[in-house]
Amino acid sequence: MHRFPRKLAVALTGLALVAGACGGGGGDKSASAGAATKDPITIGGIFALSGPTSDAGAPYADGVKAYVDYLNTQGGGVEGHKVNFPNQDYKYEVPLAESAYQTYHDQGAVGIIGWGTADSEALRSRAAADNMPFIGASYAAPLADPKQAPYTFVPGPTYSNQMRMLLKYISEQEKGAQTEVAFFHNKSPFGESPLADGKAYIKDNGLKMGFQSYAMVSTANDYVPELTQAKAQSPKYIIVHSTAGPTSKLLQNIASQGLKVKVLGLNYCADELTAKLAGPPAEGMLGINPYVQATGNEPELAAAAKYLEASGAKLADKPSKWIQGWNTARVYFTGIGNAIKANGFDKFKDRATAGPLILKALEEIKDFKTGVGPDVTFQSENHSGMQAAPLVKLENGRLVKVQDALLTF
Amino acid sequence: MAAATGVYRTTYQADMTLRRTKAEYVRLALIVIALAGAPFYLSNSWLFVLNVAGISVIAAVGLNIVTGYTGLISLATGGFLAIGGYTTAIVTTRAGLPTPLAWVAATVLAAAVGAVFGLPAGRLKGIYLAITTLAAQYIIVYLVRSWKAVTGGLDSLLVTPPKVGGTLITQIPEKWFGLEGKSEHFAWYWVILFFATLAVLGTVNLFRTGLGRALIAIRDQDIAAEVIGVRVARYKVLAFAISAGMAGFAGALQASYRSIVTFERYTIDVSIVYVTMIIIGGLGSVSGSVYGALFITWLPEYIRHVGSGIRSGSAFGFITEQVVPIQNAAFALVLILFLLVEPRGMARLWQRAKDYFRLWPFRY
Amino acid sequence: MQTFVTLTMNGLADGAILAIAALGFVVVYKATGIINFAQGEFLLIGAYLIHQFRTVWGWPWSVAIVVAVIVAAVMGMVIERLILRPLIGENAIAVVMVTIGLSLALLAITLWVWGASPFPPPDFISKETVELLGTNVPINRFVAIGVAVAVFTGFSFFFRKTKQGLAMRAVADDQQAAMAQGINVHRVFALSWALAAASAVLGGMILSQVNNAVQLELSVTGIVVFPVVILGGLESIAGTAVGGVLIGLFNAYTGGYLNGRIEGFDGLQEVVPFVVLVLILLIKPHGLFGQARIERV
Repeated sequence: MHRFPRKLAVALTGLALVAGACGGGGGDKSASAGAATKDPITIGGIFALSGPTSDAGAPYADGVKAYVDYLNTQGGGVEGHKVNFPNQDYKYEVPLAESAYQTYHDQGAVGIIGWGTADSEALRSRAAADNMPFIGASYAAPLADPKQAPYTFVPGPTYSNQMRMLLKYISEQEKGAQTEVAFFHNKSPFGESPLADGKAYIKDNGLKMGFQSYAMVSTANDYVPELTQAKAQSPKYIIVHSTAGPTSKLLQNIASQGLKVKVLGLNYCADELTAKLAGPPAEGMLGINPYVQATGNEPELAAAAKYLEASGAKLADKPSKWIQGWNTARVYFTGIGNAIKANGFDKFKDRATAGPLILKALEEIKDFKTGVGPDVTFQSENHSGMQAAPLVKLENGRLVKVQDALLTF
Repeated sequence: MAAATGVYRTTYQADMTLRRTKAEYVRLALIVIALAGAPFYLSNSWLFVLNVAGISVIAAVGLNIVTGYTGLISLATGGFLAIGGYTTAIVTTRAGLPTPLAWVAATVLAAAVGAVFGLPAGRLKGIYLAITTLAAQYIIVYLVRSWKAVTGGLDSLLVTPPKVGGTLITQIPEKWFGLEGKSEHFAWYWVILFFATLAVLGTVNLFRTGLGRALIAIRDQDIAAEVIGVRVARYKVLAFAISAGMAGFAGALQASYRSIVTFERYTIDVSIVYVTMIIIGGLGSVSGSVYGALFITWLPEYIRHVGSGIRSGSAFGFITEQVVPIQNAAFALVLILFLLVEPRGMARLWQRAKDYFRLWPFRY
Repeated sequence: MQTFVTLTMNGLADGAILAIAALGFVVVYKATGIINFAQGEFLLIGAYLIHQFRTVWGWPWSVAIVVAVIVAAVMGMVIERLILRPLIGENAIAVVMVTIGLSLALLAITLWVWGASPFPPPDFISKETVELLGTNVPINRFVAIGVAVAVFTGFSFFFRKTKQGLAMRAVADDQQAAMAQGINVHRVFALSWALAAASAVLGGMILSQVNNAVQLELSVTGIVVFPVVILGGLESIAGTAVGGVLIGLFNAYTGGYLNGRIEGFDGLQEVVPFVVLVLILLIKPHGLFGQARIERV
């Protein structure tokens, strides 16, 4: 009987366990003009680099990390202070997010940059109890409500508001005539987030709309059954709220079933990744996305363009999620910088004092320019950074704004 | 006494004792000292990991009862944890009742559901039963996510932290042996340690009773067991109920500890992790479940620490770009290699180590 | 009526894909008795291999498929030799654990080599649709059904008429007796894993086409495979086909008729296959086509 050579296996296991211990503690990048030199502050990063949502989570993480690196090497740090940015992948598994949070907490982090609905929801009460300002990429409405998530910030329009904007847009396009609208959403808290608010909006404003919702489950290979059911409703518009993968499937199915509908997407599906996957059926899809791809000429993103040049990359090639990550980090660190400038760095050694100061500074951010979309404005009653959002279109595989058409509700 | 040449016992009581030799007592004392001293020396984040491992021990031991001792593969642990967690959230926050009551309700409800899903065990064997438990996992999580009566339409449910006489248990009163100012993880450590010890001792004692022996008989030769009078179907349901109840209790503890429940905590991956724990630890061994739970909880954290220690510029710089998949691959590799070295788990590995020293210089 | 036709065609195509996915699983189980939790990842690797050869390196599609099948078969044999052969005779559940570890490892390797971003599917299967009985059916659905029929016929022929297939059935029945007959059991094991991986290439190719993306989420199908094989009974190839079709149809009808109709319960098609599975198992504990084993004490 052949046994796997025992000694070899034991040696390999031991090696796998010990491997990194000798490789730890790498070198810092050498100091140059614009490098941060003063005492560091620590911010933790929790990203989804593998597992669900990683197709959007990975470029977002790249954008955030790029900004921190830029800050430390060229941007002069946060008011001169270096940023320690321990970060890791939590694979969309809540226990890993929690232990990452705990580690950063112990390392003395004064804030967290997070990602999705799973980690943002799981950590919101903890962050509030620990005075840890949290900024993320999940735009669910409860996260932007200071009563439910006092220390969480959302640098974009909430899903509920996006829904309201789209419904108002539809009603204006149809000039108040009776319209049927179908809402296709991801079967998860992320996907169901705007549903109740959408229905309430229709009722409260007396919009003449028939509204039905259809869940897209993750195990389905396609959505033809749901579309068949939707056919009975004969919708003129389909609003989609999911990520790029399922949305591209839906677009393909709509095309193959020959349905004549206009498709509108919320910000995680109106994305150039959808165009890449779906091909021609995605052409002309409208939607909301506060962070589109850059052209490379935006003055607010000049620093990004210059930073990327050093490694030979071009800003115009970066995905919209990268731009979102860069800007999320940018607004966050600007807030922290403002807080340090106003209060002095001594208070930032301890989270108990630093947290509320950063919170206040973030809430005071007004009209922060991102270069690709509406300005970010936070308020103490509302931690959602945008109350209006641009109408975007997928054109030739790129995400572009429809001539500054700004949607409100 | 267990001598190098065999065992020699003269009373039934001596036969059934848990600790026999001096060496075993010494090891037990060492463990007690280590457990008592750990929270004072560990950093908060490792204490947190230890607490999570402790909660996992409870569910892992429960799973070992039904899978290791009774031979029924269960992939529904995630679902039972969910029942425990959500019940606790609903009872403490929506009904406003005290936490211990919530824990009891969680355990009982989980045990009841476990019994229901254990009913098919009478007819189904092996992989067919395993897939039925897989179905149970999906159905329970689906209900917990979609049923408005449970979720109240929310993404996550808050859990009111447990109080003793009006103060949170995590707020240690002043002047208490100089312990004030310790974090909540410190307070929770003792609570979790208490319940984990209870679970472990309870299970070990279970398998000294007739019921325990009946379950083992069902695993080894269920038809013969039926013939000699063991009511197989009934005991199978009971095994499921006990295991589910323990998992439910673990879920309840976890919910109170983290104060928020989301369904992402209870997916099929979690069930698979628990099965991993008891296999790596050793099927049919309570101490194995403990080792397995500790190891599987600790391993990803260790890999993560190692991974974040690697930065560009160090000797392993090329790995930095791809740290994440390498971390995932490292975890899988450790699992596979471990099983190739010792398929019967850590308990067996430990047993072999003990035997080696006990019998040295002889081989057997 | 039109709805029914659309749903049925969809369900059949879906079922065909599930059946191909499940086939590899059943082949391994029949020959070696091992429950392979890594089947979803085999499909995943299959899809990515086709992507690499066809989309990235631009080979003609026939060459891409043939090479991918060969690479996958070699991978299957290597896995069997390195990881599974040392565990022959061990506790069945330990082997299951190893396949779980294998699935994690394959997923990590895929992430490592190709990254987290999804890719468009291979382009040699047309995305056009065809008019059938009043509804539009995409051609790739027909391709899926066609491939499934071909694969199943091929496997049936292989098991019934060829010597290797006969050897595999003998090993599945009784390893000791097969060895006594002079059948090289190790070779049969290697062959069964190679076949599983090879059929997964075809399955993965179709799966990526229907899902419209080559992405890591494709491995989720590995879990849906279980109800299919249990329904069909683990020992029967024909049963797998029937099981796949049934589950596919159930999914389609539930999605088409029930989704959202029951107040408060959205997305029922996630659980309906499992509920149906449990009900059927209560009536027929060995699946629809499985053989009831006679147990000896």
